[in-house]
Amino acid sequence: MIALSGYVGLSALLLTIGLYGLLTARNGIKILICIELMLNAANINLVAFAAHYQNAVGYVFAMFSIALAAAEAAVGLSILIALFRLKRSSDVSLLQLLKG
Amino acid sequence: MMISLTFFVLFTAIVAIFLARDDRLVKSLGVLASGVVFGLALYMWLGSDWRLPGWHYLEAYPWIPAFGIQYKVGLDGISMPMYVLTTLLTFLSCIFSWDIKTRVKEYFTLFLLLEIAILGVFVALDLFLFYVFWEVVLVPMYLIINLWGGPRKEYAAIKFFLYTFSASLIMLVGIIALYLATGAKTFDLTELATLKNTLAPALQIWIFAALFVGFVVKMPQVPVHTWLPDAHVEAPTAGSVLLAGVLLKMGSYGIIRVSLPLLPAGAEFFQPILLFIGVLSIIYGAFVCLAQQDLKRLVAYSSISHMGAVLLGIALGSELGILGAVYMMFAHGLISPLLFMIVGAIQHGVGTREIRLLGGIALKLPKAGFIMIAGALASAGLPGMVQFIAEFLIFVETYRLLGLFVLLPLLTVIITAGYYLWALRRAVFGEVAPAVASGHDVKAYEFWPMLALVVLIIFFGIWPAPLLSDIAGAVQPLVTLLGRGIP
Amino acid sequence: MPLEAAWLIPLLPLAASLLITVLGRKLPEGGGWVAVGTGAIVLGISLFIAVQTLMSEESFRQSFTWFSAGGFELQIGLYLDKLAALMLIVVSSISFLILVYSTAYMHSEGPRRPRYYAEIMLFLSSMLGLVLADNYLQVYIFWELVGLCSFLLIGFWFERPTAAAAAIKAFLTTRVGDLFFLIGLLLLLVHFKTLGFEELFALKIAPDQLWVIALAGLCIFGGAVGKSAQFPLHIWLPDAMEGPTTVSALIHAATMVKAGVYLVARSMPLLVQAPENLLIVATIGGFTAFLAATMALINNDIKRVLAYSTISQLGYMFLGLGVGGFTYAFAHEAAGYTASLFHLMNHAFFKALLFLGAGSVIHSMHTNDLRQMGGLRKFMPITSLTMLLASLAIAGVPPFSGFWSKDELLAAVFAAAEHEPWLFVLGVLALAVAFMTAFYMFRLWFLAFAGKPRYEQHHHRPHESPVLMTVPLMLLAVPAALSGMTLLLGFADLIYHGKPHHLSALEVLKHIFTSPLTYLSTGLASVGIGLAYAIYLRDWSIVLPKPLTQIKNGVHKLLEQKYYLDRLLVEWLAGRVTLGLAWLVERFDSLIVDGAVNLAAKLAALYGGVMDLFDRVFVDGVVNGFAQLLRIFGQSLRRTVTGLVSDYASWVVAGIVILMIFYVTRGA
Repeated sequence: MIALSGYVGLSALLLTIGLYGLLTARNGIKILICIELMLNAANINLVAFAAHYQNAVGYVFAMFSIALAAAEAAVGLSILIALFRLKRSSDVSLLQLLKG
Repeated sequence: MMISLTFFVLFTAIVAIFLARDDRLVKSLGVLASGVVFGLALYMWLGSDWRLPGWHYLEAYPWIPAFGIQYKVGLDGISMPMYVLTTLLTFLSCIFSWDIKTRVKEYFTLFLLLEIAILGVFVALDLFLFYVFWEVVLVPMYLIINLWGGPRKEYAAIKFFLYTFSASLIMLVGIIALYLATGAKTFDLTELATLKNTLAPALQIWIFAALFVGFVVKMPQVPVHTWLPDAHVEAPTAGSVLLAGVLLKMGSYGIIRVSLPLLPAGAEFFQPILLFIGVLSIIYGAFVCLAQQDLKRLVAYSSISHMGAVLLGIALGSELGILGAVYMMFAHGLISPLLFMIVGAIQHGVGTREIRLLGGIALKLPKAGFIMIAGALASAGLPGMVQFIAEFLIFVETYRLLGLFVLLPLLTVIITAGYYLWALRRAVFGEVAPAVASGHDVKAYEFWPMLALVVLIIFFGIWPAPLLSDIAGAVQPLVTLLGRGIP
Repeated sequence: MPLEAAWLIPLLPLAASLLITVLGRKLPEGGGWVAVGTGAIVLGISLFIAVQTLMSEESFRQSFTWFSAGGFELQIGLYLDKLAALMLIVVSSISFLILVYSTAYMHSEGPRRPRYYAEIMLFLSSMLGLVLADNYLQVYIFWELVGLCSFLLIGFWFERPTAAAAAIKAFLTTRVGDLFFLIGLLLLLVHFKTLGFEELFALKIAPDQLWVIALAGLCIFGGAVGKSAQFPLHIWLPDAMEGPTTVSALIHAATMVKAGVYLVARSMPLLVQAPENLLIVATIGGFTAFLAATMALINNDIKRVLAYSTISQLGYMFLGLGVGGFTYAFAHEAAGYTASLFHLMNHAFFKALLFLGAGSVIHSMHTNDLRQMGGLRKFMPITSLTMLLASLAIAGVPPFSGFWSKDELLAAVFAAAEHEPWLFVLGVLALAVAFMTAFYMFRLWFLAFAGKPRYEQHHHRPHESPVLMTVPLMLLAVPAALSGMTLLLGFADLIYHGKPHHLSALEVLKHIFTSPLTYLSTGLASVGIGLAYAIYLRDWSIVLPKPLTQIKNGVHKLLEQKYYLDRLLVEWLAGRVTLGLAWLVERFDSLIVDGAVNLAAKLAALYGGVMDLFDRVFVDGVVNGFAQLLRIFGQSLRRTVTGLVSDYASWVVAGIVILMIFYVTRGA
């Protein structure tokens, strides 16, 4: 069996990659993909712990998370489409209307 | 109930102004309402024997009982002259503003609101109520300066507001501290005065300092005075009239009404500092006046100088000292508005206030010249006019308590005469300047209020006895409370 | 007439003043006749009251509480004693005559007349209130009010910058004196709880309180120095000639400037308790008399000569008071006091006459410059004759009024010199002044009225002045010439300090004729007149002498003079020296003394500028700087608000990381 730390490490790695991509990306699609990546990283963590400690809570949480991720991806994509329609580009750095 | 009646009249007038259709009606309502209120005030003055101690026209209703806050108002010999002065000045200002053309409704509404707020400060006998009115004063004044003011009105209005407001916040800290420290769950001034001995002296000193910050900025004194010249210069004439005439007195009134009775240990500690600030303001203000080119700025700095004399009287803390200070507040409350009115009228008629550009006013605009000379001499403390009496009392007491120290404030006798006469020589006497040649003399609605003030200034300079005994009726108990009667 | 009627004396002119202010234009002669009428009534009442007071043994007092504060009670009241009576007579009579004169003199002023009459009536009211006062505060109040009227009237033609400047100079200079007076008031009120004359003079002063009396007395004298134009506060009076000549006559010769003398005379009971004060009074008086006389010697403006002369004669009066009070301390008799007030009365009459005569000349010639006059006696006989009488009076030629009072003064000074050698010096100065007075007065008279006309005769036809001007001149000439005789009639019995200086008429005459001083002073006066005549005869153009041309001319003239009497030669040399000295002194006064005043003013203005700059840059700068600080702070914070969500998200992450570190290191 793979030790717990392995799963946690993988999860952390994926989270970090996703976080980095989220904060630095300019393309909206890329941001959404990174969000998905972070969510999945969290899911991996949840499932790993659930399996290790034989606790069903983690599985349930993970199911919730997947469903919500799907919904959120849909919403995010539609916002992105609306942005594209407005700006003919999916570059989120164009959204600076609230610049102080 | 007279006081509440007055408030009611003013509120009604404001509502009526809102509903009025044309400007003339608005102005008439303004003058009428302020006139009625002045009449009421006179009636209140003449209808009560002010030598009796205690509060006259007292009204007390609970407001927020959980905190011991009441709507408690009343008058005594110290607040009564200020009260009557406020109503008089608002009345005269409304007449003086007869030619306002822009936003007439808002103008008169704000003035009446301002009157309510200022009157409230002078009648409030509950510390919380006092603070509320104190802050409410700021809003109409800010708007008056900002909407009808001169070229730099935005700067002046904001400066006035933020400066005095910040000081008031420090004052609020002091008030809250006082409330919590006495533990008596009351804001009633009379009750708090009886509790003063329960407060540790060190605490009294801190609270006094906090309150003093608020009061000294309002008066204003050096070095926290710099909001005043800008506020005065940019404010419309009637605004300056009320600002100089009564708003400034709120500061000194606050010290007398709140700080002295409630915090005697603090007062004793701070006495030398108050003396210093007062005398400093007298001399500093007078010197800066010498260098002014703008008539209105000159009068503004002269206000600072005269309020220094008031602070000096208060700092002396004895019966004659406080009596002189209150009489000076009254005197300055007549003279300063007069000066601002005439300067405003000159600007109105000639188009400029720059002393450099003026000249020969007495020749071309005789009425203006006459009033200007009368005002200048009154402010220089000519005997036969009200300020001389006040200054004389303060000087006598300064000598009695502090000996030769009196020589410092006495210098003002010469310096004040100096700068006024210099201004008169340049602006009023001499050859007629081009700006003046094309100008017009004061209008009737400007002249009569000013003449009324001149008459009052001479009247109270020749017959001070009744007012002095009225004020003394309140000062004597105060001084006894402080334990500082005549040795 | 009951003595309470005295209240009317200051009140009637006040009412007249108000009436003229309100109704002025509609009144005949712009209010002039109302003024004259009031003046007449006031004169009548004053004479009645004064005579009654002089004949009675006691003084009359009526006092009310004006206001009380803090344990002090301030009074307003009436005090009629012989001193007040004397002042009443002098003020009311001269005022009346000057008012009559004014109706003609000011006639051409047209719509400005009401202002003139209102201000003169206010002045009259204040002056009378001053002399009738029963306490120092009342005196101070009216003191300032007469100063106000003086200011307004000097600046009557306020569109002239010189007049405006002169008015302000007068007000401010006297205010310096007033400040001292005020300090004296404070001292007296605080230490003795009262300012009333009767109360203060009756007090027994404990030795440790004597310093208060001494200092207060000196301060009160300081006020007098200002109001009566003594050194160093004398600089305003010559400039005050910018006002109408009637104003100069009334205020700056006959009445207001005498207020200082009155004050010192009134305060004698206080001053004698500190005899050193009286020496100071005498010294300043004597010195001023000398200084002013030297400056009158070379002045070409007819009014300024008279102004300097007034300062000088006032100096005589203070010298007399000082000496009188000083001897009181030793001998309990004060001849100088009597002499001084005697001179006050005489001087008031002849000086008023001189000014009114000058006014007549100015009215006719439209100039004040003596160099542009000459030979006027042919055209203006009445003016010329009355001026001659007044000049003889002031020069101290017997039997005219000035002779009597100057003689008494000199006698008092030299008598007192036995106790105090310094007074001998002052006495010598006083003699020099007598000489100079005769000289400059006759110089004036000769230049104006005698000799050949120095003006264009076809441009100017001088004429005698109208009746309303000449009649007052003639009426004034009577007391101007004869008021000295009152000494023989018992003046000294009435006006005295301590004991009356009782001498019968015969004793007075005997004293006069046997005293060497009489002959000395008369001799000096004659020499002065003669010298003026001699110089005049040479028809010198009297300009400010320049030392080199002087010497050249002098040598030239010296040769000529061999034809004249040797005595004249000696006097001519002496005259030249004196004139040169006079010029020097005038320059000193103008440049240094007055210059100091102007420098003080400039320094004060400069300091004011510095304070203003400091106020605007530093004090206000702090306030604005604070606002700026907040703005900068705000602006730098602003840069975090980029509008980019990813940036905000980064901040969130950073925050979470920090929190996590916190938790991990400190435990959850």
